[in-house]
Amino acid sequence: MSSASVDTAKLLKDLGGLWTQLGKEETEGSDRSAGVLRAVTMTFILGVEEGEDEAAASEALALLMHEHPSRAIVLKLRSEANAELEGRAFAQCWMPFGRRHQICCEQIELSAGSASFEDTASLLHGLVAPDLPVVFWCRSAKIFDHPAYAEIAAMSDKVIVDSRSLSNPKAALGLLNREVQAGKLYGDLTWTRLTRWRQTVASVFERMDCQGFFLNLNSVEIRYTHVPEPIAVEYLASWLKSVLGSKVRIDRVHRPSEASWLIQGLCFVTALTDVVIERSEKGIVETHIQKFSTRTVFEELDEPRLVREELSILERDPILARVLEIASQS
Amino acid sequence: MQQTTDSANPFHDALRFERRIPPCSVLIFGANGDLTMRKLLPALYRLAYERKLPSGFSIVGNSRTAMSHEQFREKMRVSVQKFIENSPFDEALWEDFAKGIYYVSGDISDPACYAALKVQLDEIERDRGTGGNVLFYLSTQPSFYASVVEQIGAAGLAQHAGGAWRRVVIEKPFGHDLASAKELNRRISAVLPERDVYRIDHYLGKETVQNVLAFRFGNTIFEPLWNRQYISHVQVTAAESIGVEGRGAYYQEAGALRDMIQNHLLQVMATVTMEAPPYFDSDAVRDERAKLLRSIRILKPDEVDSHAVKGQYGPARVGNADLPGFRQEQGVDPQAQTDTYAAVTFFVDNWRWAGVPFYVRTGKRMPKRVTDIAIRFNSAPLSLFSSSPGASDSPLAAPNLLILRIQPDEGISLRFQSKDPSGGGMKLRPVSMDFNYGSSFGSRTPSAYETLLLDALAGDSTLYTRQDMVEASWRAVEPIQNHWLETKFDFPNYEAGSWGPKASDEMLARRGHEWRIP
Repeated sequence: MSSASVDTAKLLKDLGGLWTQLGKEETEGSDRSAGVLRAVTMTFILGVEEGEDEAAASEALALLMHEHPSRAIVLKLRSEANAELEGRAFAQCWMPFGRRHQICCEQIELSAGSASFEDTASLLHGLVAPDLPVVFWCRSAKIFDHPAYAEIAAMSDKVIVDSRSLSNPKAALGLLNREVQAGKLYGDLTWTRLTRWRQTVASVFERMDCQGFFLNLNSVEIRYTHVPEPIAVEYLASWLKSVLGSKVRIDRVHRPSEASWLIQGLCFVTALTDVVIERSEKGIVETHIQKFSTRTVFEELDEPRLVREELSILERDPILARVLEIASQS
Repeated sequence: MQQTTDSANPFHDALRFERRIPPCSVLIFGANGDLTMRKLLPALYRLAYERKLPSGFSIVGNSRTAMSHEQFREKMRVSVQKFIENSPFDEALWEDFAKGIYYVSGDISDPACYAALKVQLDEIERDRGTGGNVLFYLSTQPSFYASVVEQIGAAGLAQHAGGAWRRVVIEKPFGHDLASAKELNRRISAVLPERDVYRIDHYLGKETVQNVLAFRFGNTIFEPLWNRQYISHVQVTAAESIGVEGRGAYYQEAGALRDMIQNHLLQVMATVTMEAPPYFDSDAVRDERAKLLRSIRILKPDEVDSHAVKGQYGPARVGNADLPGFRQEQGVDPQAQTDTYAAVTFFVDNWRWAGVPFYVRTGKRMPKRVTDIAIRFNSAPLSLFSSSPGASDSPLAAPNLLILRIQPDEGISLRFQSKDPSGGGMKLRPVSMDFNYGSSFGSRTPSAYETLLLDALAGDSTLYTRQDMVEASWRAVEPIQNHWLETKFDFPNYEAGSWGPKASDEMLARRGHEWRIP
């Protein structure tokens, strides 16, 4: 297919044709379903690179579609720099267990090499579903660094990145900070991964017998397992600073380990006693407060789960904004 | 030390974290019963799994059966594994969760039982840092509700020296008539203030019932039509395909009117018809529900026969199964006069709803399990397309119909007229626009008990019924109940697997309406 043949009208016509066809199958008494439900709650743009990771991205997208039926637009950056722009439209359907209706979501795929990748951005303006939010999950470091990124991000209501997988995570936090301070909605999966750590910390200070302890806090130790220091540590340190201010010292301690996780634990230090929140084994985090200890399950966090959390927040996140501000100053 | 307040925890992130629950315990009376095993423990475990419960959270079970803590924990483990819905069971989490489970055997009519419970609660407060907050859950026979609360008070368990909260959750039925409901309320309120009494109606905990409020008050396009000017009538249906399933003896005393309409369905009806509260706060929402319930017209004895239908199913063959009639069910009196079906025409005497009939029906052994609310709008004022089968004067006329589906296939459908493109001419055909809860929000829906338990622990009583609401709904059904008690019915009057007695269809036909088939 040549680039001249890819235009918005044709793609939208193809989508319309798909729905007509699905409806026809229904009225002709196909045994595939007892009805097709067309579901669109947003435009979800997924930026991916051609290659090994493509399958994982498609799988993540399919899972997300079940919970957030969307017009999905996959922007694929081809490995061949001069690959021409191509586009196609298709439907993704599934029959939820025990239901009579088949649910279908529409999907458009635009692919191009680096040289013409900006053409995908120009097409997007006509392809987003009207009157619904646009969310852009940039899953590729190369797309993040591509000149087209800014245009795609600008037309999106929310952008989701994963700073730890970008080429320069620290610089990425600076960019995110500037964008967020300018009012753009951003989600960073590296930050999202910390929600349960933060929640566990918050629950410790929910306990009434910890209030006095909180007043006597000297320092907090962030223990991490791998070098170089993960960007998640920067996030955690900035978050703790945003809450505790400058009086409490934040120490970053490398505890070498073969474990797959990056954050090993947190230790809140006072002259009398410590509160330790620590990963004891895969999936389990133990909290020790004096004689009392409790366990929390940290279940496997896959990408769809993280993106799901971000999709539930389509408004300004003041805590992330403050943390980004501190992180980009350090 | 003072209990933490919302602003006291600087680590909290309201946007991403679950609602904060202060450290606390739940004490379950009747902990060896079905409700605890099937609903309460699975719901609490699931809340723990989702990290919605505070650390140190504890459960104390009580019943007459002698058991050790360990035996009770094992019993609860088995039932959680068996009854947890759409959720994994994690052994490691259970191990930690079970550390907070305790059991104290004892007779709830014996003051010594409460003394033992107090010792256990004090120990938990000391060892697990629960701060003395306790939610008492009465999962006992309803006849014990008042005495258990009185014993709680007498044992000094209703208050805490340190100012921690003490709340009680009561399962329906809240009395068996208006007088007994008032008496129950009087005895409970002598021990605990109304703000600490949580009367659970699990229907209000259903996501889709809560969504009725979001649908009505989160949108602007429906509310202007939500009145007597545009709505012809409303049908509320709660049908069950099963019979009494071994609960014949209990059901024989309860009946459909008391078991479903007096509580669940009148609450649902109130949710559909109440005015908008000034703000979303438990008392503001409940004030509006209560006002609506008080506006329901009370039937005079001579109006009951024309406004209410009592039914009882008889035996029938459905598919290849021979289904017994109610009187043939185990534990049921062969001459029982129990209503396994009840349909009532209610009117709401207020400015918004005057003259609009609200048809409410519920029954067992109906063709399928379904609960929905159908709002039928008035027909178009002028018949422009009179040759069409969908025209307003045609027998096939299909006025706009808005259906709020509570279960199953939770969602909302709007039926409207569309031009049929086949055959030429202006032929109309009704079409349906569907919103399906499951397909738009594929995430797991919490069970009603998860929602309601979490609300009670957080001190949010929005979805719980208040004393005045209970009394208002008893007032609405009592004339029917009294009339039915005085009348001998020729039962059975509908076959298992059918949509109820003919008299019910006739009740609607008198106003030119008919039951829709859900």
